[in-house]
Amino acid sequence: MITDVNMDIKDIQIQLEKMRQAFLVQLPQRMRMMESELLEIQEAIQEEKSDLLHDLLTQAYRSAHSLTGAGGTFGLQEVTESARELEDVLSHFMQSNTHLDNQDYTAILGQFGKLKTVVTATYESKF
Amino acid sequence: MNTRPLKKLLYVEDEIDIQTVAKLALEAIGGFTLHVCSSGHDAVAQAEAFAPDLILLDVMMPGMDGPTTLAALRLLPNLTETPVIFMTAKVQAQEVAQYLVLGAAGVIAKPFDPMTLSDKVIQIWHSVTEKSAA
Repeated sequence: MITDVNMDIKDIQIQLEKMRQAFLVQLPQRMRMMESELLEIQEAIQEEKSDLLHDLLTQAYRSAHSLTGAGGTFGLQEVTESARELEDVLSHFMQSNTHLDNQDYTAILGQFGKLKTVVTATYESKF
Repeated sequence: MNTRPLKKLLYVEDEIDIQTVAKLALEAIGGFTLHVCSSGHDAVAQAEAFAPDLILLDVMMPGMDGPTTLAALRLLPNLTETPVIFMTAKVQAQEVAQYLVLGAAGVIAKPFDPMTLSDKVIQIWHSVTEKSAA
């Protein structure tokens, strides 16, 4: 994007709103991507591929972190708070350095479910 | 440290959405000349040629994180004293203190308000300038 340094405040606010709309449009795709990342974690647990888990958790953590930062920047506070809670759960399992089991995965999935509910409500309220 | 006016900012952030908003905030609102890098590696490779007055560094990035990037930038001859501001969601007092120990001039909390981001950058720049003049 090329930024015009001569924009006035009203133009800037219009641009910001356009960016916010573009972010909102991408939300369902982001959630689908996160869902597939979590499925990879589930598969790794079920197939006992514990050597893959840290990288998969890191990948999912980065996606949650990305949503936390971008959501807040676009004024979607509820999305940010829920994504941060998912970050915290994923971070706990990344640092615990233990083998995850199905109960752990259920905890991750539960937090993701809450995030998905918030994101869906946010998306539907805007379109 | 420096007495020049603040003009050139190097901004290091891996998130495209946040880059775009910050670019609008810093160029259109702040009037700064901005060079954006998407990774610590890119920043280290491009920083000397751009010669920024100040560097804005995201803390959490894949590959080289903010503190690692800062350490690498400090090894470049022309960037040993360029003020660096960390941008992070982790802004508890202890965390901020740690960033300052690492050599940051200040910390800006994420998520940031695009309309006031430039003011926060200028505030930290002034604090650096005042310290160097004292």
